[in-house]
Formats: sequence, structure tokens, C-alpha cells
Amino acid sequence: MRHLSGTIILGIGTLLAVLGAAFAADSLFRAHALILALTLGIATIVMARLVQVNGNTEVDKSGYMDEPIRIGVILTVFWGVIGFLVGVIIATQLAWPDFNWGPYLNFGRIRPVHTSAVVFAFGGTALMTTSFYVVQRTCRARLWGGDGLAWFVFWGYQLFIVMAATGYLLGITQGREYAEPEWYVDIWLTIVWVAYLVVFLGTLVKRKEKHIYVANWFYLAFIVTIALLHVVNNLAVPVSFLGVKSYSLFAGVQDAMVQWWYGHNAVGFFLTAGFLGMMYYFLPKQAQRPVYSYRLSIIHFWSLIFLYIWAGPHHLHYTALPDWTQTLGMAFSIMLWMPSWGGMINGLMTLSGAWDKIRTDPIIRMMVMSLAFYGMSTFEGPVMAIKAVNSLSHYTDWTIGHVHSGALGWVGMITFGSLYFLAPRLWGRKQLYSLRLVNWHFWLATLGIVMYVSALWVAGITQGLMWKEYDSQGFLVYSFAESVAALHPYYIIRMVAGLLYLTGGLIMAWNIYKTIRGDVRNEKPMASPAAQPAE
Amino acid sequence: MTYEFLRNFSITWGLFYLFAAFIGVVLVVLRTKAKAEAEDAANIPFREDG
Repeated sequence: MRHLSGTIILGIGTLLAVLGAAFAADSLFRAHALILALTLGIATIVMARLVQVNGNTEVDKSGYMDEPIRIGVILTVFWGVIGFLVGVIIATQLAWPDFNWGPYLNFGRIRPVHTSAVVFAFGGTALMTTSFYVVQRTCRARLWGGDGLAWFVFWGYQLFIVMAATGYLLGITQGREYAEPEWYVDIWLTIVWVAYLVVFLGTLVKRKEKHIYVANWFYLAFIVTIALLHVVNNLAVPVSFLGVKSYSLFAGVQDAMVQWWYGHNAVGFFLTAGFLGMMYYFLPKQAQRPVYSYRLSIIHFWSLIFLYIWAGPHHLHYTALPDWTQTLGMAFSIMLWMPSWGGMINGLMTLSGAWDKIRTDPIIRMMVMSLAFYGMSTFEGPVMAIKAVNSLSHYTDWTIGHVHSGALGWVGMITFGSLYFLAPRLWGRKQLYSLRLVNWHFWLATLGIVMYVSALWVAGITQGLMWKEYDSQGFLVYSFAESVAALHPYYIIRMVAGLLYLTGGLIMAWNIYKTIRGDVRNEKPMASPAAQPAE
Repeated sequence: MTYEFLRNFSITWGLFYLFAAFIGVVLVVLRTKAKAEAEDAANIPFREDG
């Protein structure tokens, strides 16, 4: 009987969560265990209703396993909208501190909700979903390990997201950037992630294609490296078996270095390598032409993964970290220009001979804009990693602007493009509900990013210069509060920019919902392919 | 194993290893046979509809 064993496992999980709450060492663990029990309890009931006692319980296992991919597309859109919304809320709180509703909705608690929602919920679900899609199609093989394992990976990861986010709201954090969840949530993610690796590797092994397509290399590098980074960064000793608090295995500057070795490679392997995998599959597919240079893509891959892992120390310039380590981080960051631009050029040149698609196909337009932002933010990053530049930019909003040009521009746009590619195909529709709405999404998002990034450039440089301004007597000219007051207008611009990006996300949600329903909007075509060039 | 040893090891053999790996990748990619293989591999996404 299908779903029966799953129901039993979920039921046992619920029971264990209730026991965890009963014997909790502190009230926060109790609350968190009750949330877990509630989540698993609901899942048990849903699963129990799916159990088929009689009738045909055989499932067709000849084709690809697309069901988690369909749900993944919907969840990616959902988490995207939630993540952007929380971003707008915290931007509002920075501009007008009265919007801090404590204790649960204070900036300090919902800021990690925003970062985790966009990086791990939106980005992570997008990566997991697209990697399942790409690995099956390019290996011409169904996911390895049976349906149960793939579902475990998929829903196990969603459970991690729920536990992480509710933990932040409760005030549970280990205070490591992009790795805030406490030890027990970390252990859960490790189990899920190893299962993810097993499914992915198993599918590669049983492939019917001789060569492993380059997109899978990037996905694999992302999965393997995140496993390594996650485990090392979260090595910690819990204070009690059923309590929230733990202490890191490392101390002092070593702890800081481990944290940023993780933190920077989360950017390098989660937000770059993984999404490059997406780019190397979905851009050629949408453009209907193979990637410009497959050999360049291989050099791109090996140089990117060899260089990225050393760049982390640039987050710790002018700290207690040894000078040579700082210089090493800086040097490797600058070398990253090469693979990054090689990859960008490779992606853009794929359109060589078909540049008209940028005019006629808004999905291609999105992917091209995403590559443009990949190029811009990977140019800006190494510049900021140079110690002299960093002495101005570090701890200012310039850094946040840089992150968002990469995240909103590169990660966001390539994901939107891939989602628009996937939706009609996964639900067997001839076309999207509306290409004009894709175009609206494109312009709202682009305008939002440009406003966001330029506002924070000005804000960051203003901040950096005000903090460094001395008078002839050697006293600081500005107090910290004065530099905060100077940023107010830019914070408002940032909030409006986020609102534009969020609006684009909502338009996408509507478009994909209507596509799934099978509706087609009655609209004028985007551009006729036969349009004459202007005289 | 002292700190100095690790540091010296990484700026000599570590550097050599990374550089040799990079040269190795470039050589493998530039083999004459590699061109046909690459063209074949680049078309993998188009062998299957969907």
C-alpha cells in the first residue's frame, strides 16, 4: 500500500517531537518542538488521506519523476514572494524604526528570516527543483533511489526551512551569518543533504548518456561543497540534549575564519555554481541553440571551483586574521574575474547569431539581464575585496547593495527565466499565460534592482566617508548617529525599489498560476519576428 | 606539524598543485579530439524534448 510506510514514519516523528517538547531543557526548545509536532502532525494527516488501501496502487515509473518538480516550481514562487515581502518589511523598518513590532517581528529576528527565505527557501528550492529536472533530462534516467528517497529530500528540505524560520522568530539563533539555525536543525539538514547527494549521484551513475553534461557538474559541485561547508561551519557542542543552545567548536579568529570560509562559499557554491548549472541548461534550451563554447564551460567550471574556495578571508580585512591570509583572500578574489567573465561571455555569446531573441522573447531578455548582473556583481566583488577599497566599503551599505545586485539580478532573474521555461512544459501547456506579463515582470524587476543598487552605492560611500572624516585636531567630524540620519532618503528609495521587485514577483505568481490552469491571455504578440529594421 | 610548516607547504606545494591542476584542465580541453567531443556534449540538452 502506497504512502502507508510514509504515514507511519511521520506519525512516529510527530510522537518524538511531542516527547521532545515534554522533556525540553528550556522553554524555547519546547516551543520549537511543538511547532515541529504540529507540522509533522499535519503532514501525517495529509499523508494518511493519500493511503490507498484498495485498487490499482501501481505507479508508472517508466518516465521522469516530475511530481516533486511541479510542486517545487510552485514552492519556489511562493518562497520568492515571501522572501521579497519580508525584505520590503525590514527595509521599511530601517527607514522608519517605528515598524519594529517586538519581540517577534524586530529587525534582528526577521532579518535572518529574509536572508534565509530568499537564499535557502527561494534559491534552495529553485536549485533542488531544477537540478532534479536537469539531471533527469540530460542523463535520460529517472531519479535514482526510488520515489520515496526523492520525496524525502524534497519535503525534508522544506521542513528545514520551516524549522529555521520559526526558530528565528522565536529568537533561536547561533549567530553565524547565513547559518543561524541551531545544532538540531543543522543535523536535520545534514541528513537531508546527504540524501540529496545520494539521489543526484545515483542518477548520474545510471545515466544513459555517455558524457555528463556540464550543468550537472555545477549542480554536483554545489551539492558536495555545501555539504562540506555546512558540516564544518556548524561543528558545535550542544549545552543539553533537548535544549537550543550550543557553542562553536572554534574560538576567536579561527571561528571568524571558518564562518567566512562558509559564508563566502555559500555565495560561491550556492548562489553561483548552482545557478550556473541552471544557466548552462535553461539558456541554451530557451535560445534553442547549444552553449557558445562547451570547452570554455569546462575551464569555467574547474577554475571557478578551484579559486572560489580561497576567497573567504576578504570578509575579514583589517581584523586579527593574519595579514598573509587576508592577502591570499584578496588575490584569489581578483583571480575570480577570469572564470566569472569567461562564464558570462560564454552565456551571452550563446545568443550569437540570434540576438533578435532579446527583442522578441522576454524570457531570453530575463536570462541575458541575469548574465549582465552576474558580470557586474562578479566585477564589483573583487574590486571590493581589494584591501584599500575595502577600507572604505566594509561595514557600509555598499556591501548590501553588492549582494543584492548578485541576488536580485543574477540569482533572481535566472530563476524567473527558468520558472517561465518550466511552467508550460511541466503542466503540458502550449505556452505561458502571458508573455506581456513576463515583460512587465522584467521591467519592474530591472528598475527595482537598478534603484536598489544605486541608492546603496550612494548610501555606502556616504557612510564610509563620514566615518573616516577627521578634523585638523584628529577628532572624528561626525557622530555615528549623524551618518545614520544622512542615509534616511536612500533607505526610503531602497524600500520603494524592493516594492517594485516584489510587485514583479506577484505578477509572476499570477502568470504561473494562470499557466497551470491552462489559460491563455488574449493579448497582442510581443513583436513580430519578421519586423523590419528601422531605416 | 607546526603553523610555519603548514604555511610554507601551502605557498609552495599547494600553489604548485592548484596551478598544475589548472594547466592540466586546459591541456585536456585543448586536445584535438576534444573539439568533436565537446560539440557532441553541447547538444545533450536537445536530444530529449521537454
